[in-house]
Amino acid sequence: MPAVPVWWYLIVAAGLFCIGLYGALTRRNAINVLMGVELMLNGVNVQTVALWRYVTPAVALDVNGATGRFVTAVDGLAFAMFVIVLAAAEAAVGLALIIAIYRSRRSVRMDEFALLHG
Amino acid sequence: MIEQAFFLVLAGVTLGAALGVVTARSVFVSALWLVLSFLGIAGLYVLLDTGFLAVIQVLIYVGAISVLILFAIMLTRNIMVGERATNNQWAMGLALALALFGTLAAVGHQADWRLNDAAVVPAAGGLVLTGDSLAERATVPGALVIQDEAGAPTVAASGNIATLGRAFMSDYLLAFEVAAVILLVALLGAIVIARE
Repeated sequence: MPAVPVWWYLIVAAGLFCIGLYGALTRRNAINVLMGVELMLNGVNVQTVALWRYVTPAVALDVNGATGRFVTAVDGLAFAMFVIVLAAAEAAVGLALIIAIYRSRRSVRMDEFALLHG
Repeated sequence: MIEQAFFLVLAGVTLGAALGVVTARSVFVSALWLVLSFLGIAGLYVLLDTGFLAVIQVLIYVGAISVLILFAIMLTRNIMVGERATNNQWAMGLALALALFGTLAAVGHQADWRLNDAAVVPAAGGLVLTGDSLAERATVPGALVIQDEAGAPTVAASGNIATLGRAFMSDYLLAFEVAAVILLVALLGAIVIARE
């Protein structure tokens, strides 16, 4: 049994997600909103990896000099990697959009971005 | 005990820095808090035995995304100095975030997660055998094969990175290729959108 219970990680992940949610909902600067989204994605990743680490069957052994934790599946790890890839793509496109809108409107305030408002 | 102490320090740094991100008045200070929060998360990954993910976290989040955000701040600088940082729905957002946190924390604490303690095979139990022929079956150096009582191989296990590499090239091959295409499209899209 690992020293740290799994629900400690889950509470940290939930905290990250909710702090990011608060930031994404309430900040006026578009770059701050993007930071909130990044925090939410990181919270999801921490939760995925923690549950994978604690739930996937594994063997802790010393085999032919190779010590460590041997796993049978890496579902959670692969999922976290794909989330990181998508977060990187999202950050690049999102910041490009913010810069493009700043160029045309001289503003990064979310409440002024109502071009598609009917 | 030492692991718990490390966890508490890292969790405090991560959550404290995250609070700094959403409360700092200056967007630049927010970005610096974000870097600290990402580093704390990398430490949590190390505690979770996933050193590879910790390295990726430092490379991509601390290295690339933070620098990208700082670039965007520099390009849109001094635009909101002295203004209100939050919009007028902050009370509703705070209530929603607190309610969601309470729910998630309660579920995380109460749920039966079916932890893998029972799946850990004891080395002395005679179930785990290693050797050249068995290692060949696993096809990865340093891998091990777990046998049942009759001697038939049941599970092939190996370290995180080797298993991850094989998973990307077999089970997740389609997702892996789609992720590559998404990165290419995002690269081109970011260039096209941000171009003068």
